[in-house]
This record gives sequence, C-alpha cells and structure tokens, in this order.
Amino acid sequence: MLSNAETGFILSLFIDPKVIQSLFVGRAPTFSAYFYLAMSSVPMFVLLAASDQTANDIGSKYLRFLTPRCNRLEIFVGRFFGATILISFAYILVTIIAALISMAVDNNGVSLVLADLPLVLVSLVLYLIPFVAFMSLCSVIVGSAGLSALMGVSVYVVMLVIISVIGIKSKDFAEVISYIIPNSTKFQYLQLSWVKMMGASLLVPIYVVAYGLLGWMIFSKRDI
Amino acid sequence: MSENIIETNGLAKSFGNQWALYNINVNVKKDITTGLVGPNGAGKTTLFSLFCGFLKPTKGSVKILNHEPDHPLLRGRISILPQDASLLKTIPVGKQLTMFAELQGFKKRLAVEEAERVLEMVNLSSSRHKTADQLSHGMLKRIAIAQAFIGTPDLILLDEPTAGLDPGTTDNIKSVIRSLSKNTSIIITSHNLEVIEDLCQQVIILKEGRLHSDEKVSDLTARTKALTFRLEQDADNSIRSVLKALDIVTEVKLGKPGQHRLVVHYSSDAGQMAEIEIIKCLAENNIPYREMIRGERLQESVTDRLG
Repeated sequence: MLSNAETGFILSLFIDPKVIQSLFVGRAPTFSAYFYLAMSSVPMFVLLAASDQTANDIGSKYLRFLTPRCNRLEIFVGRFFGATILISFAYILVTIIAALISMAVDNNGVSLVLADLPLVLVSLVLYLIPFVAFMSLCSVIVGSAGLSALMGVSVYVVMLVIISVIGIKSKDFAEVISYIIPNSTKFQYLQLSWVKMMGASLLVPIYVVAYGLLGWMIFSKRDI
Repeated sequence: MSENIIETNGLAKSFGNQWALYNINVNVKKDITTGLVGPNGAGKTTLFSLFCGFLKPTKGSVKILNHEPDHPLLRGRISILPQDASLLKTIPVGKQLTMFAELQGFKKRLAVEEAERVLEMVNLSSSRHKTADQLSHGMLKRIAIAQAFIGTPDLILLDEPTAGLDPGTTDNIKSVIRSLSKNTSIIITSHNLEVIEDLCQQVIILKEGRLHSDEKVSDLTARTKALTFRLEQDADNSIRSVLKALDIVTEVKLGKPGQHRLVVHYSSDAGQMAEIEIIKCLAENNIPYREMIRGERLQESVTDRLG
C-alpha cells in the first residue's frame, strides 16, 4: 500500500518528493517507512539518550573517584564513544527487527531489504554521531542529565525556529546557518544512495571535532 | 628530586567575586603525614580540591610530585578520598573497587584481589556484593576510604577521613592510616584535631582563605611543659592570678566559654613536683576537674592561634 501512486501523492504533501521517490520506488516500502521514521526520531532520541555522558557524574562528584586514575581527556572521549556505541547498538537492533518484519510482509521483501540493510544501518549510525557529539558539549556544561537533555533540546528547537524565520527572508542564508545543528545532512541520507551518504558523511568528522573541541575546552577547565 | 611532595606558588581560587583562597605558598614535605586544619570556611576543602585537580586555580600554580594535577604521569601515584563524592548506585561496591583497581593498571584477577584486600582493611568484605543504596552512610564512607587505599600510591590525600564514623571505626581507620604512613606521604584535612594530632607530624593552618601557619605538630603541642585540664565548669578569671602566683607557672590559658578548659604552662626546670603543686593549687581553690592531660593538646593550641 505504501508504494502505490495514491499514497505517494499523500506523502508528497508532507515529505520532499525526491525523498519519496528514493524511498518508495523499487524498495521494500515497510523498511523504507521504518527508515524514514528512524531518521526522524534520531534528533530527539539521541538528545535524550546521550544527555548523561558526564553531567550526572559532575553533579554527584563521582568523577572525583576517576580523575586520579584516568585523565579528563580519557573520560571525555571515553564517554563520547560509550554513548555512540550504546545508541548505535540500539538503532542496529531495532533496524534488524524492522528488516525481519519487512521481509515477512513486503513483496520480494527479502531481496529488497537485504540490498538496503547495510546502507540503512550505516546512514543511521553516521547521522546520529554528530548528535552524540552535540550532547557531549551540553553534558559538560551542567550538573545533571535532565538539565543536559533540556539544554540540548532547547538549543536544538531554538535553532530550528531561528533557521525557519531566517528562511522566510533568505533561503540561501538559512541553508548555510542550518549547518550549525547536525540535522542539515538528513535530506542526503534519506535519499538512500551510497554516493549521497558518502557526501553527507564528510560532515560527520567536522561536527564531531567542532562540538568535541568546544566541549573539551569547557570540560578541561571546569571544576568537577 | 625535590624534598616536597606538593608545592604551591601564589595559589588562589575565587568563586564569583568571593576569594575562597588567596596567595597560598606552601610546601608539603615528603614521607610524613601532614594535616590541613582551619575553621569552617577557611578554605581547607578548596585547597585540598586544588591539590587533587578537582578545581582549577584562578591564580598561581600547584605541583604534585613535580607535575600539574591531572597529569597522566600521576596515574596510580596518588590516591584521593574526596569528601562529598558518591559512588554509583546501581553497581555493587566490590565491582566498582575492582574497576578502580583495573584503571590503576591491575590485571582483572589481581584487581579483584586488590578490591578484596582494601575491603578487608575497612572491615567490609561481606558487603562487596551490595550496592551503594544498600549501605549506611558510615559504610559508604568506609568504602570511599577503601578506594583510596588501592595500589601503592606515593601520596594519599584524605578529606575528612573520620567524619561520620563511630569511635571504633575511627580507631580502625586511624590505625590503617598510621600503618600506611610508614611508606607513603599522606595529607589529611579534618575538623577533628585529635585525629590530626594522633596521625600528623606537620600541620598547615588556614584562616579566612589565607595561610596562617605551617608548623610541626610537636612545636604546637608542648608535651612536657604544660598541663591541660577539663574542668567541671568554666573557670573564673581569678584562677589566672591564683595559678600565676606559683613560681613555676609561666602561662595560664582559659578556654572559651563552654569549653571548660584550662591550660597551665610551667617552666622547664620546675622538676617533677611542678604537676603536683599545680593540682594542689586547684584543689585548695576548690576547682574540680574531670580530666588532666600532660602537655597542651593541638585543639587548644590551634584554637588559641586562630583567636
């Protein structure tokens, strides 16, 4: 049903037609729908799930047990990798379950899903990494996971609103500004193409280094 | 190699507009136990946290074993008991101690044994499978102390190691610290000056965020030339003149109201009868006392100095 012309028309009211064409023409529709939903959930899910990299341990002073045994850089980088692995694992697990369901319910599901599965997994993981880095920045500023999540969500939403408002006056400028927050590459990933994905992935290290350096500058100087 | 284990130079720390510590120049000597004392708000925990690298100096510098705090070369060479830090609530304390030992470089099997060893030192072997939520405040304190004893550090920093512990456990912890002090430099902050007097050879006194003095405990306690009395009630000022009338008495100090203390210093050439003469004088003037200690305790000495 997801791949027929009527559904495509309705979806095009909400989603970019290019994305609909890439996701729902010649692919397993259930799996494509899952991919779209998963990509859309990444910002909010990661902002919440990655909020406690260092925040609670700063608040409870648990880091004071760690600093005689490992330096701050190891803690900061270790927590970033830990959060990335944990959240990636969650997405990989859910994606495999979605793939199995899609294989069972879609026509030619097995071959279509198997063809897309690696690209979907890589795209999801690459897309979420900058959000984890963004939260490692938020997490070093405050002293609790709740505050860190609130800060991350607030900054993200405020930036979205600012970009939208700027977009009314100047679309080109808004597009440039939108690269401040990490979801600017979502459109490329959603087209489910190795070429587009690789293009978008070039920004991942830039986001990680930018957010990471800012976070490290604060964490290395702050009282714990 | 420097004889000092910690050196500070113009160290200062402010929180907002408030200076918690100002211009601290202090050298902590190697291979002894040093106490860090002072009244509330003197800056003890702030100075301790600067030593540990928990806080970053606003001005000046601090060197631990010739390195900045947080330096990778200090890993495993210093151990810290932080005052208010909480252990993780969901992981058994034994596992947490094992993880700390592994972070200090112990292999997995040896780390388990090391965790077991330090838990035994604080008499909590039976609690290794319990989580922080299942332990009392005193037990958590002992676990926190245990983590500071992991490995063979060159320097152990203990912030209020006996606060919140019952007398029996305090004695046990003091005895462990005493045995460790034979091979390790130790720094202790405490409000309990009896602990400092029992364990430390050197004492750093802070007052209102500044270094007040850095002296040997033995210089502060004048063990052989004074008697300290705990009286039934606060002594009247007239006792001063009564005692001073004795030829052997050189100085009389009265405690603050409520302390019920009296310290009598006498001349060093007074001989063995001096103590008897002073006690006799108190009896004749109908001043009963509950306890008498030879020498002036650190408590009186520090209180006296801090005004």
